[in-house]
Amino acid sequence: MVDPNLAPAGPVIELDALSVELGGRPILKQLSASLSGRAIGLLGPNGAGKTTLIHTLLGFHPPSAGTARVLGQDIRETTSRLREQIGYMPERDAHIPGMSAVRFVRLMAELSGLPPDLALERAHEALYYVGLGEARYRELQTFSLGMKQKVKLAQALVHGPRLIFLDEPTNGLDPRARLRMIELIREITDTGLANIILSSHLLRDVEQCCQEVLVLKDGRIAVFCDLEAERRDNRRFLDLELRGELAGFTDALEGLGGELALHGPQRLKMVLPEGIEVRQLYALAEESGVQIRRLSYKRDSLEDIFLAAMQTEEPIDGGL
Amino acid sequence: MAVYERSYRPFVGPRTPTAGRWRVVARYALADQWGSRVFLASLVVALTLPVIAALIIYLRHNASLLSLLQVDVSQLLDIDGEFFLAGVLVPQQWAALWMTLLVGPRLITADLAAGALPLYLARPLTRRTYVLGKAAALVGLLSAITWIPGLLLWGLQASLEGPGWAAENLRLAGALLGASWTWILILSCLSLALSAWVRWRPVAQLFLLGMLTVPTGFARAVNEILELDRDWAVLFSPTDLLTVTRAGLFGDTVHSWAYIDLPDLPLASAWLAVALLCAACLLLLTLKVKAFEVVR
Repeated sequence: MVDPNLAPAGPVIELDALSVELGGRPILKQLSASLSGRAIGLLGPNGAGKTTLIHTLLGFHPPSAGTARVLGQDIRETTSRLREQIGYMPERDAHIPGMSAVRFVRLMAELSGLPPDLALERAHEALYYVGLGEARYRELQTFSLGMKQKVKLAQALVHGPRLIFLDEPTNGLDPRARLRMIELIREITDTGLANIILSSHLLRDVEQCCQEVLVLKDGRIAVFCDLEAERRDNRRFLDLELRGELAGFTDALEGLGGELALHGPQRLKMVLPEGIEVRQLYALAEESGVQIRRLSYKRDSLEDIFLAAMQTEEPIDGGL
Repeated sequence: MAVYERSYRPFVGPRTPTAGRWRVVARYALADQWGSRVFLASLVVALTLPVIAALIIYLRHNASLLSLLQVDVSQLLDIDGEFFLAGVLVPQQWAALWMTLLVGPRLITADLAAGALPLYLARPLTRRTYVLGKAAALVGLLSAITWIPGLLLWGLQASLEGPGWAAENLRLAGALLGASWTWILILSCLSLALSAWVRWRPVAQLFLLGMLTVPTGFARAVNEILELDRDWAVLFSPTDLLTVTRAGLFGDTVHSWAYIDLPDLPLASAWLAVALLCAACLLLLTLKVKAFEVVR
């Protein structure tokens, strides 16, 4: 029997040629991926389909073709049991006016199936957990934007879900509140008791929290990247700015066994092979009549991956 | 996730049955009303009328109290069909209309305006369950001021009068129940549909009031102008539909005065119109109660 306390060992989300049309317009097009990270980032420019993907996984929009599985269950047959294990923090302002924070969170807990007394207990706990303990009896309409974001997070996790969808959780937060939100998300994933799907257009948020990243562009998967694996590999790149005729120099570098790529007329990126020292590059440059004007170690950031994905027409592999 | 621990933990305790989840929606929807003084005052007034009717019934059967008060029994109202229709049901139906104006338009409007529907529907709660919960809050409230006091008064009269009266007036109990439920259904369906379509509460209230009053006059004018063989235009007037169906339910338990100004409409067509009205409202609700609206 599966221990309900543990996050699933298999894929959290599997997309199988998932397509979604809204109002006759195709929004998501043939998405296929298997996501199993503890925290999975959804990235993409505005209108890329991030929120539509979340809504589809929540069962708000029916797929027009293909399907998806959440925690192993087909979304076309979403059961109440599955929904009890899901938490959702929407992007837009969502609350019930005239309710205190604790009553609102309690209502959401009861709707998820918690008995009233336990729902009340956990509502208090959830509000303390997100840092609203002192404000829990205040009415929601008196809350600041940051507090509303926190209360949305509290209602998303009050019933202890195994999978939490967070749609732009740091929207409108000041730097300090943003850091606290990121900290909370990392705390939750670090427990290993829940998986998080984080949709954001802020690369830094995703980079700080997520192990896997799915970049969407125009409703398609532009990149799927396992950041955790990349971090583990910790492959270092050399970024070289050069002057002169590069053909001979690049041939010589390839002769060393390094992976390299030109990015710009006089710039070159390469992975330094094992056992090769930097001074050997200077020697090769001198032999080839090339000047190395600048050399720096650089690891591809999520920003590089994202920008590459946005510039490419075809979907690209997430490898760095 | 105990307060002192301040760490995330899943919930592993027992969960309430999904089938009864609509009760949570209904409970919170009703509880939201208690904070309003207007609501409380209206509820007290609405429940006062049946209490007065109960006192009249009690007085009618208490000879010693009548002699003490030196009241002749012939001066008191007869407890018959007309008493229950004009003295109990009609005032309570007006009270139900007032309570619906206070409560009904807010039920879904508040959630829609605050963007709360995705929060409800991301949980183990279907759109149908959500609407059922909201409707249950209104139906429960309207029941408490219409058929429940009506049947209690009927029961009081039956207990004071003896079993013979109950057997003779069984149809009266059915009429009280049927007419109350017809009105409750009309009011609930109309107010919930309007609540889902009009996001501003005062406008929804005005629309509801307008839908219950304007078609009555309009239907009469249309009937006059077109000189129809029967009052077919009242098919579009919810209050006239109530009058016709109510008359059908009470039948000969009330005298002819209650039927003055009764629209000339076949009873079956009135029932059909009520059913179609409710179905149209449910369709409107289905179209509007969604987690997100798709903009075309």
